[in-house]
Amino acid sequence: MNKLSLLTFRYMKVNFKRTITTCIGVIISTVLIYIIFSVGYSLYFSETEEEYKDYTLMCDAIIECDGDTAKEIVYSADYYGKNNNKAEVELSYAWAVSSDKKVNMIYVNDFLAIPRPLKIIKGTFPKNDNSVMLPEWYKYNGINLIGAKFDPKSGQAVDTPNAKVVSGYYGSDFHIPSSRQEIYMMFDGAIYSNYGDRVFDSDKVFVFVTFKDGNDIREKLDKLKEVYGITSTELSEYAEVYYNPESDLTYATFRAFLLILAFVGIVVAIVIIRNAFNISVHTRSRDYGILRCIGMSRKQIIIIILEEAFVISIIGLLIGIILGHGLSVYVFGLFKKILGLSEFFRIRIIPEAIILSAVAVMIATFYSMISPVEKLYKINPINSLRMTDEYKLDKKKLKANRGRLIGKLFGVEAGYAYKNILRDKKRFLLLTVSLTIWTILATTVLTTISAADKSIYDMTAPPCVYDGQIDSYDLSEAKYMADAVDSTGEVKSTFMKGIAMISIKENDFKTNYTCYGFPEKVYNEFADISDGYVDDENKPGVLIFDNNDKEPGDILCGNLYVSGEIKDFNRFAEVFTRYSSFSLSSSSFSRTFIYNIEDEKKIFKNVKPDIYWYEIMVEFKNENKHPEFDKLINDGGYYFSDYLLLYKSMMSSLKVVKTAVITFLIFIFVLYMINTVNTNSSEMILRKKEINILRTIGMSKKQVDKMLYLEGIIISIIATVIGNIFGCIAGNGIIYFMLFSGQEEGEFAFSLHIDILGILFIIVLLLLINIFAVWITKPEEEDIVLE
Amino acid sequence: MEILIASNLTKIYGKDDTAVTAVNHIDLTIHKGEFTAIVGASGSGKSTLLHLLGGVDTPTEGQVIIEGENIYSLKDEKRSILRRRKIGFIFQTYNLIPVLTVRENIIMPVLLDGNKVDDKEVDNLIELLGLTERKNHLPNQLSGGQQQRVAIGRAVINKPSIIIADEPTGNLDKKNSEEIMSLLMKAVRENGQTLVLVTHEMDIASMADRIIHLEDGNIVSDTAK
Repeated sequence: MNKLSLLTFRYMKVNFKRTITTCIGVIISTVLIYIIFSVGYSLYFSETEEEYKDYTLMCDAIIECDGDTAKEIVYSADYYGKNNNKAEVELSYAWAVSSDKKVNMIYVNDFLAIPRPLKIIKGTFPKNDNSVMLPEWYKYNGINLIGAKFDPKSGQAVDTPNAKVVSGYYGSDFHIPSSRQEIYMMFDGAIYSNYGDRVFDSDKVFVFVTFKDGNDIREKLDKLKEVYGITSTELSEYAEVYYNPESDLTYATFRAFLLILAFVGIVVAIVIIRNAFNISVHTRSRDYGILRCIGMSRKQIIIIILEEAFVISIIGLLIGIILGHGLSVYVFGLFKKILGLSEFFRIRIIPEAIILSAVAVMIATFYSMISPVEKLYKINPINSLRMTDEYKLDKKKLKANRGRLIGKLFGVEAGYAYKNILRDKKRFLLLTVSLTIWTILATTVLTTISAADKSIYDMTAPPCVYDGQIDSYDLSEAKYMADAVDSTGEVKSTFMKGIAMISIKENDFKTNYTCYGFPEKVYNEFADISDGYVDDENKPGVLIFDNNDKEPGDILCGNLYVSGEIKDFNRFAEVFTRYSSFSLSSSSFSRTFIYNIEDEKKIFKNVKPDIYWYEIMVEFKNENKHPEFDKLINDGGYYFSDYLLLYKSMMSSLKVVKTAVITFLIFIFVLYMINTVNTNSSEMILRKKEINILRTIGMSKKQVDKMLYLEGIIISIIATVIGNIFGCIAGNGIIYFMLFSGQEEGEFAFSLHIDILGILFIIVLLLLINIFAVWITKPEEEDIVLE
Repeated sequence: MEILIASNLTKIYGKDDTAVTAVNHIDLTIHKGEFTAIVGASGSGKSTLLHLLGGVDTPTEGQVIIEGENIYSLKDEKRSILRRRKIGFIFQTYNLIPVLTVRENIIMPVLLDGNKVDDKEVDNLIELLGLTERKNHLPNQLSGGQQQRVAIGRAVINKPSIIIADEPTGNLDKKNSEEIMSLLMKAVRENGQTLVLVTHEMDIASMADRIIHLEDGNIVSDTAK
């Protein structure tokens, strides 16, 4: 503050509306930037080791012991935990993994798996640095949790006191209508179900235990050791969990997305503030000229405008951060919902976010001042008084012939409008580029959303006739369930199938192993519905395994590749559904190898399935009402994967995503509208005298309006053409690279897409922005006065 | 005593075919306490000459020395300081800062210098200008004559050695013109300030100690009383 602050504040007061407009620009930009930083940091901090240290949901301790002891502990937790009595050590639950088969590799290629990062458990299980455990899967993906109850409303598994063993298999692409839900793991050996008991065959088993009461863990562990006679020193008090960068591809993508948003926010802030101050400089250039005449130095003038910028940014920052925090609570809530984040993910007041937002906005503000300050610096006192040097004309662009054709075609106003656009390259570029950026953004988002919509439709469309499935890990139980389901009378049809994972041994690879055994009749059925062959290189009865990323010891899921044209799609789907877990995308048919369990021995001549389970596919008579069936499932404690609920859940998630993204777009749209109005406003100030001259020499008000509207329309057309082309490319690029990063080729469900309706919508919107900007800033009747 | 020396002062607008010589190699010396009137037809270059003498425009050629300092060899900062301390400007269109009150407009050159305002002195000046009742008014609440008096106040507040006035009575009626001239004459006669004034009114010019007649950027006559 100095003695000249009088002028600064007087200008702010006199130009109150402009001050408020600029302030709003700073506020909106701050809100945008703060939300991004705040949400980003909150996500980041929620992911840190610090958070996980207190995160005891995974387990309270990991115990290394022999198979028998492990079995005892797990069963004890299972039964006593459930009945809430008699347990000498009150375990809530425990689950075991066999130790002789180390986990070799795991990866997640699921965009929505972001909140469920895989963590390395250091120093406990297993000791390999590349090894990972699945601390949260049981909580989020019921399908991975054997014996867990699943809450269809929340889409999450409900913790049960039952012993829990993570199956060594993947998530749920067959019941969630999007391949984005797929979580895919490859193991050097299976993690067995304790129901299958094989996990306990080993001499070295790790048991993950959770006590009913999380207090005094050390004492409880000692007691547990004593009770079960555990002598191992490999007993960790807490499961230490560390961040695994290798599985962080989706996080990186998400962070990149947030950074792009932050960048957009900063660019928008710069554009708005720059424009607002440019207008201020234009409107006050005469005053500044006078001040220069009476002895004000350039430095002093610049101080006035910088001081104004400083005051506005401080006010904007304060309000923006307060509003931003309020909104980021809401936005974070949306993210939690969209990404299925757990409760420990919470928004918080993060000093870094506040500082970074403040710095970003300050930088944006002061960077925005460069152009106005440059203008001020060059200000010539006398010329400012005369107001003669404000418009720099590009004489080359204004040669006589320019615009003549347009003038002939659309009238003299159009020709003049065309010349006006060319006269100031910077202004034209500023306006066009900013609108183009918005168009790209809008087209990208609409293209992606539209592709997601289409994908969901594809995935759930007929001929997938089944309404859901029940999983079972026991053949006799599965058969019993199938009969019980039929007996409810509410089911139109059922189909039972088995799923296997096959452990390929090291030697198998050395001999270039191919798994034979695909039944002849299956081949024939596929051959019948396609154009006669299943695979070019393979004779009937050959099952080709998907050997991507294969390493000795990996378990591979077999993919049946069908080449050639499909003659009868519905019949193909029907056959495919019968023999495979059905997954239909617009680009590929793929998925897990499934076989009829009765054919097991025939199929696997050389390979023994390590794990398998059974799926009872169910088609209801009335998909909305089946009380007997529901009772059966609830009483039996089974998990029924209801496609309809999952579809609704998916649609609901998508709706939230859409709302969030469209809100963001509207946010940016409003900013661009302010910016366009600002730019036009400064243009009108500059051209006021000229327009008045035109009016004086006989141009009617209508003609002036037409000329100005045409200028806006020409800019809109240029921006939409460029923006839509790049937006479509970017949108499809996102579909291809971003959402499916980490997925194997051919597995994505989204198709490349051009959203015609969206493009038309954007064109109309851009035209409206420019027409509105002209309408609000064009000179009024009484302005026809030559100064 | 010489207070201002202009030598070979030239100002050309435009280039090549469109070049217009507004001031053509003028040599001029102005003495301290002298009232010089510059007269000439419209477009003769009198305002341009005045602006060049006052250091607000840049000459194409030549130099202006004020109290021994070549003002166009100075950097902007120093030239600004020189303007605010040694020169007072008065314009035909007043050129007051519209967002500042009468008093604030007048004291602006003092503030620019970072100096403390002597309230008593300012009040005396405002009284002298006959603006006491109007000192908290904004320029758009004043008549033309009053606005010009504010401009005079602003021009003299720092007691500059030279007052440069560009047709200060051009927009005023006879009564107001006389009042303005009376104030300016008072500055010259009582305070010993130098006044360089552009006018096309011979009545005003006749009050000057010296009349310089300009035609097409050249001095065609330079008459001292």
